[in-house]
This record gives sequence, C-alpha cells and structure tokens, in this order.
Amino acid sequence: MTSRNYLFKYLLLTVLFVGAFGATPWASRAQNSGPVVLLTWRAETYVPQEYEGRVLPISGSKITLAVDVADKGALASLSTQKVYWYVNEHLAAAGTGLTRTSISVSSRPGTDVLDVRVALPDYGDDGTGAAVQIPVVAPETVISIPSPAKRVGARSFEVRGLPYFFNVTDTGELAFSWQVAGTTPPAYNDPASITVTLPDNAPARQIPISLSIANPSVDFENASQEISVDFKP
Amino acid sequence: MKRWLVITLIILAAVILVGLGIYLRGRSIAPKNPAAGGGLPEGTTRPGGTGGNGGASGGATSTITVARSAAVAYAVLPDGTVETIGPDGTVVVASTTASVTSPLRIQNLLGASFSHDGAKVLARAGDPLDPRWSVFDLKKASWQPLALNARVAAWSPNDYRVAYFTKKLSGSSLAVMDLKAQSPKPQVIMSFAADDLLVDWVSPSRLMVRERESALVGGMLAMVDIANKTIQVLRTDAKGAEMVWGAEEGLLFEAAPAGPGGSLSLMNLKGETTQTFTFLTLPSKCSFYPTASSSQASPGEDLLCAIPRDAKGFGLSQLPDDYRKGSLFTADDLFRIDLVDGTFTPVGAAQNGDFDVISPSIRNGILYFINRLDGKLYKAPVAL
Repeated sequence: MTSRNYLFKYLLLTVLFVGAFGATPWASRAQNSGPVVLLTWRAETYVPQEYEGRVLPISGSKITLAVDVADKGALASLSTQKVYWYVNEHLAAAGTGLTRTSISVSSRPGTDVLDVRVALPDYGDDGTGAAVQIPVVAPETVISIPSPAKRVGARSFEVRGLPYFFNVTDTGELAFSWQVAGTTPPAYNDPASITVTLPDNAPARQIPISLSIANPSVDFENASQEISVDFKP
Repeated sequence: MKRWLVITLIILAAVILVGLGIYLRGRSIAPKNPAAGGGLPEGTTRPGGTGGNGGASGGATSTITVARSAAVAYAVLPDGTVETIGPDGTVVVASTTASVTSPLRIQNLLGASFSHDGAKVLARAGDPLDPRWSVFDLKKASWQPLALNARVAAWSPNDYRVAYFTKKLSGSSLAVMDLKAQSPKPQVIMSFAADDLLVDWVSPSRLMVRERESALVGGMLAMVDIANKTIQVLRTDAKGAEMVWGAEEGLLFEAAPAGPGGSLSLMNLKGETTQTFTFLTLPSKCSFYPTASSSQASPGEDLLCAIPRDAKGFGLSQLPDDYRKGSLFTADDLFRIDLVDGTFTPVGAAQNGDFDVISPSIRNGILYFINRLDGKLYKAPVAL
C-alpha cells in the first residue's frame, strides 16, 4: 500500500472520529460529566415564625457550612476525604471527613460578602471543590399592613412590626420604638403589634408610621422603617 | 482529482455531522417560548378592577363569598364538602348540609396541609426550629402525634406517604414514611451534611430537594428518585427558586440575576425547562388545573394563576423576599393559562374587591382561594 493510501485512510478515520464525537449531543451533558459539589449554608439569626425563606447572616452571627458531593447519581461518602474550608481565602477549618463546620461573621462593619470555598483535593483523580458568596446583610424592620397600597378605610387598624435577621432568639430580647404621625402610641401589650385608632371625624390623609427595632445587647444592631398609610374612610 | 473530491466530501460530511450535533444539543435544552400569549396578550381585559366583567373569552364574573373566616389550608372533596384548618388549629368540615368543627385542636399551629384526598391533615406546631407534628384523621376526627423529628414535610400527590428531612447529629436525612401503615416507619432515602433543605413531591416516585430561597443567594435544586435512591443535581445557582408541581410539570420562579423581579418557566419531570413566560407572579399564587380533555392516559393541565394587577410594582420588588417578609401585598386577577396555545382566560373574581390570592384551585366549577389580606377562604362559581 502506498503512503498516499495510508494518509488517505488516516485522514478518513480522523475526520469520521471527530464528526461522530461532535454529533453526539449527549456526550457533554453535565449530569454524566463528573461530581457536583453542593456547598450549602445556614445562618442563625432571628426571623418571624411564619417566614419560610432563607435566613441571612449579619455581622456577628454564626453560619453553619456543609458540603455534599453528588457523584454518579449518589451522595458520595466523604468520611475519609480531607476537607479544607476557606473564608475570604483564609483557612477556616480542615479535617478528614469535615463535612460541616461553623464560622462567625466578623463584627467589623463593612463586611458585605463572605467568599467561602471548600476543597477536597484528594477526591477522585483531580480533587474537587466549590465556592459560594454569602451576603452579609443588615438587620431589617418590616412594618406590615395587609393592604396592597397600604390603604385603610377603618378608623382602627392593626400594624405589625416584624424583625428580620437580628442576633437574638426571641423578640423579647429586642426593643421596639413606634411613632404614629410623630407621636408615640399608647402603651401596648405586644410591642410587635400596635392598633392605630383615629378619631371619628378624622379626614382622609396620609399617616406616617415608623418603627425602630434594636438589640440592646449589641452596639449598632438596629433597623428602622417608615411607611405612609393612606387613610380613606 | 477523484481522490481529492472524495476527501472533500468526507470533510463536508464530518462538518455536517458536527453541526447537526451542535443543533440537536441546543434544541434539547432550549426552552420553548410561545410566540403569542406567553405574556398577557394586549387588550386582555382583567375581571373586576378597571376592566369590568369577563375578558377575551369565557370567565364570567360572579359573586364571591367567604367559605371560612380563617384558613391556613383547605381541601375540597368531589361532593363539594370543604375541609379547612384554621390558624387556631381547629378543623372544620362543611358539607352542603352541615358544618362540623373538630372538638380538639392543635395549639400554636405553624402550618398544615391536607392529603391528596382530603382524608388526613398534617400539622406542624410549636417551635419553628423543632416543631411537633400531628396527623388528623377526618373520618375518626382524632389527632395522632407523629414522631418526624423534622422541620419540613410534604404529602405524596396520590397516597398517604410523607416525605421529610429528619434531623441528625450531623446534617439531615431525607426519608419517606407511609402513614397508611399500622405502625409507620421511616424509609431513609439518603443522608446530607446540609441541614436546612426543603422537599417537594414532583411525582409519586420523585422528590425535589432544594435550599430555602432568597433573591440574594443562589441555591441547589436536585431531583431524587425514591425507589432507586439516586440524586440528579439540576442547579446549584438557582436564586430565589420557588416551585409548584402539577402531574407532569412544575412552575419555577427564579429571582433576577441582579436587581428586582424575576422570571417564570416550566420544568418537566426530567428537570428540563420546557417553556418560559413573560408575565410575573409567584408559584404560591398558582396551581395546575386539568384541561377539559384530560384523562388518566393523557393528563393535560393548564395553569391557574393569580397575577398582581400592579405588574410594574411587583416586578420592581425583591422577589420572593419582599412577599415572604410581609412587606409586599398584592391585588390580583385570576387567569387560566392554556399551556399549549398560550391563551389567557380570565377567571371571574370579586367585582370590586382586592384579593392577594394564594393556593387557588377550581373544584366542581367553583373557584377557591385563601386571601392573604385577611386569611379567609373565599369561593366563587366560575364558568370556564
């Protein structure tokens, strides 16, 4: 066989191989292409009991980090794997099988994101890992009135004050300070909920309501909100 | 010359094969975007509000009444009996002729849900971080404690199994328990190092596991096969992901990558996006509704959605966070959305009322929903 024939057959095989590989849309589907690292976290700050969304961390709060690896349809056992945890590129914790660890958010103001990374250098052939950014938020105060446009028609209506993401376990640890149209409302049993009562002849108007919530045991851990209620009898 | 022609044809064939592969791969993951009706069609008249009665087709407006003065969850039986559980933990069964209130109630109720046939109620009470679980049997009118040691649990869509995450010393385990059994025992599916995950039933054989949602963080979405005990991770970066499932598809909301608002799409049982929408609402304000021509062999479904009237204001909110925190309330209009041709049919609601609709459903020609503004269960006859 001449060298030209060999060249021809080599070229044919190469081109067919490349074409066959490119024609398989399933070849590079992510689901079959290796382990997926699940880096999850949970912050421990206060939220109202009816809130079912993600609890976010603030300065000084504790966060629990966890890692799982989904590989070939199963969760891999990591009990013998070396696990390294990094926060803002500083080694925070390391250990064999250390799939969970806790960190505290720095109390320094100005921290608004934590870069968290987990590395499993001995997993599989090349090691694996993942990284997430955890937002560090400020505590929040929500004045809640169940009305789409904060519009009320009754002369007496209830307003709820909802604290989010404070470093407490109970609202009893928080101080609530209400103002309705510039004045402090009469004493209330539950500081998280007040009843605003207007005189019988009160005209239609905008009523400003503000609420400040503070954690007295931590400096600067407070949040305020002011809303305007549209009173139309 | 002939040899070079052959070589050229071979190379051309290879290029065509590669191009075909790229095209096929793109098509298999590209979502279908309906050419028309994906958003609210121009000129669609909203029922109630400024739009007056009815709409483009069908959907007569009708009188709306209160079915129960306070409801956390409800179920409607085929004979029209309405079962509700109130925030005070009492269960009320109201047939067309009589209303019966259970003598016992659950204190400090946090949440509840009815089984697929309304025969049982699963209730969560007490400390949100370590809740007590109980099951109410409506036939026996009795409560039984349930040792779930869980924060979240969900009913199967077609039997008395409950899926839940049980706490471990280090993480959590996803388990399924069949409450039909005399002595229910947990069947552990898999164990995670993570300990604050949510679980939804996708189908009788599959579960969706996800992280709690916020517009500010990405989270994991994964499909779990119960029988094979396998997991398929769909996403690790889904922001603010909230879902509701029908028989064949799920409605997925995701927060915008940056800024307010978000988007809605349909996901099939394999976790693939099949359709995107241009209107905006939350899955908790929607449900899947069997089409007129659906059958057991061909279970087609439409979407029943409450869509905020102030679409602009809703889209400028941080979703779903603002809604979940109680700082955002909406006034909605209800639509039935045909998922095949994309048409929107207004579903009659109150003529002059504002309702922040959650958990809508249509049973026996009657619309039911809970109004988040006052916590009441409302109903109205509808013609679709």
